[in-house]
Amino acid sequence: MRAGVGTVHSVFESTVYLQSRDALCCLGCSNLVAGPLNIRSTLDNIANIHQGDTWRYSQNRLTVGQSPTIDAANCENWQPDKDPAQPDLNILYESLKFVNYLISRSTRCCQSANTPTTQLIDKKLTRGMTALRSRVSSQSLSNGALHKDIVTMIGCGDGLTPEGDDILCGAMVALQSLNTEPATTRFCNQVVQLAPTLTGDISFSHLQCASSGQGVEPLHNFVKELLSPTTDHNKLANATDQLIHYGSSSGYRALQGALTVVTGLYQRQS
Amino acid sequence: MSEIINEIRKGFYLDSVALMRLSAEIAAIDGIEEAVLMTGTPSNLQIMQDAGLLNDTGETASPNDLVIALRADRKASANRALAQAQKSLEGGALKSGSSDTRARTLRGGLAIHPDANLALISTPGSYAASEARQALELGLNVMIFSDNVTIPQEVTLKQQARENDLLVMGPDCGTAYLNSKPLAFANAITAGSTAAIAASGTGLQEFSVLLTKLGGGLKHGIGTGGRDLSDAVSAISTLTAIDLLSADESVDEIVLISKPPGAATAKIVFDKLVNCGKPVIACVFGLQQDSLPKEIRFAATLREAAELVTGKSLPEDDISARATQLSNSLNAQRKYLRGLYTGGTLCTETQLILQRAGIAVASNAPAPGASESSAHEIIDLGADEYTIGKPHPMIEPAVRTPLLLSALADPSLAAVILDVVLGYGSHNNPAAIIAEAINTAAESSSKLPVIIASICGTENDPQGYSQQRALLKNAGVEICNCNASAAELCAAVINLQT
Repeated sequence: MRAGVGTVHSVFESTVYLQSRDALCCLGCSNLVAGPLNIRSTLDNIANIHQGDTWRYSQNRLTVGQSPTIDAANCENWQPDKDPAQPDLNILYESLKFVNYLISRSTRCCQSANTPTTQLIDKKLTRGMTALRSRVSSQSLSNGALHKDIVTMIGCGDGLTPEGDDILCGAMVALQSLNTEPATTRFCNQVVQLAPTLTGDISFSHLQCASSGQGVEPLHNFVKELLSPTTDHNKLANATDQLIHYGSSSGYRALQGALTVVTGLYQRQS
Repeated sequence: MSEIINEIRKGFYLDSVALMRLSAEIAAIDGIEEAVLMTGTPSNLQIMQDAGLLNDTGETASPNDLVIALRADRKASANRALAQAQKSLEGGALKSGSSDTRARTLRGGLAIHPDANLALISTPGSYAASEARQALELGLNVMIFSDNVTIPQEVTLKQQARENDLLVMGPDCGTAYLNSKPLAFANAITAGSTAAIAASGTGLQEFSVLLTKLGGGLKHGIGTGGRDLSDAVSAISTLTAIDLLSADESVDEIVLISKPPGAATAKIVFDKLVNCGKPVIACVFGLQQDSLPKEIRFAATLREAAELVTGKSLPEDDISARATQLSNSLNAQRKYLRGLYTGGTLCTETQLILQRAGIAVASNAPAPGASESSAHEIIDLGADEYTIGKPHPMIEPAVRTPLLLSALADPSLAAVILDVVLGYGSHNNPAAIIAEAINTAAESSSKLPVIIASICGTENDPQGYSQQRALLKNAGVEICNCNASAAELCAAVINLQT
């Protein structure tokens, strides 16, 4: 975090988003998940912080509204593992099968109400994921403009971070993990260029991070275990479970995004 | 004709859980055909348009706005629902209010309840250790319900606890009782002056339930986790528990329930028990009487442990006569048994009883002396390989159903043995699930193996012991008074068939 002043963008039950001139970050308590936007602090609660409050960061001290000053002198920087994955095709097949089995058994993955609106959302997201998988498997991810069904995913769906954005975050983190350049960079840039007018500030910030390969820790753990060249179903099951249970549906959607890309890769290489 | 109302809240942010909650709340109002609360992104506006939820007002929303879109059977319903949504949004009902004392952190919880001295941790395993460490640093005893805590983490936590005169129960501690109050998966039992130290799970549940049935009562049931007695962990929590129970004047007697301790650990634990100043009973599966110091009374089964404490006996299950009658109903081809267990300790107890009856049993969770392969098989469905990605069978008994149906259709099986575990946290009607499976099997075949079960529960449990018993009896299940008796009946039937 750089020294400066800004305002509180939004306040939620246990987190607040802080806005500077060009970025957002998320301040939370000690149980906040590690992520590129996240500041995990010693604050017990954020009841004294309101939208529009001023925040100030200087000399390793962060003050937000009327809340106690946070001393950041000894804070640690979390970074996801950046080594590109080298998946083994046979193991990848088993891992994909296993994860799909886990999803089919998870009640968390079919929680949304079956209304006309959710059906419409699911239809658009499914079409978008199909287009994405097809482009990955045919190595045409960076050909021409972004596929219209993928564009439709941006800002599509329920939640503070719309479900389509969560899928794209998962997809972009997976793509960056696979280091399938230069197609990945082009694709990610296309998403980020279109996103500001298609989705809200908070979700856009997450998309921006994902476009450079940075997502929340459960997503990275999942991608790492999914692409691991060795089989460890216990670890994969734990990582899958943790990601599925992240957020309301964000984790599950991010998992779907990552799976879409990895399945496309498998189809290409098998 | 339907009425559509839209309202835009500019620059208004609500987290996903709150959005879903409010959407569901509004959609449930009388007269509302559909209701959504979504961000005003172009994609979402199109969806609302396609769903017939968008009017001119809503079309002007931008991606950072919250759109409330309703379709109702008439204007009055729509206005009422919108008013409700506005009230919820403006009144802060969706955020923590003054009446909401929910804490988000351990420190926050302690601020609200400064007298608390126990933290129960149920988080994914990789977070559990750090939460437990924090709890200990805050001076709290800890019950770790979570599993997937590594052995080094467990040792460090328990050492830290012992140095600070605190107790760590678990990891993987599913059951505990403190001052007779049930914690996590536990039963409504009678309070008393007996204390138990167990790995924690169905062994503690069965013992506490039998104690209640025999007129006794439990003061504390301390769950030390399945690895505490291993040489790797060296019984740190068990030793702390013995110290605590020894000093507790309201505890008259201590019962140890476990699998065999590690060789090095056994001596330390037994020496401490001998010198604790109170009578001790040990039900250590896989150990014999002569492995224990003479000062410690030996119980081969959980039933025997409860009977030794109370000096009373459970009603006879009339094993011999029932086994003969059941065997007479089976043809000669039916020789083998299948056990389908939800409780690990109950599974172990059954295996040992069958071994003592001369029946070689194989299991995915083998007890000491189990065979590597055998036509007689006892399966612990609570073991990891059956629960990865699936709910535990105690919470969702239907996960046992496919295996039960398969067993009931197997013409070589003479007996199928089950446990039915009641209590807080367990499914609200496990007997109904089992009965349904049996009825389904009976539709395909008039000849089924004998089905034997015991019910680990009390009348005061949410499910009601008698009600569950009646359901199973009506489905043709042979009910025994405890798991040990069920295993003995099963063994007797098999021995008559072979």
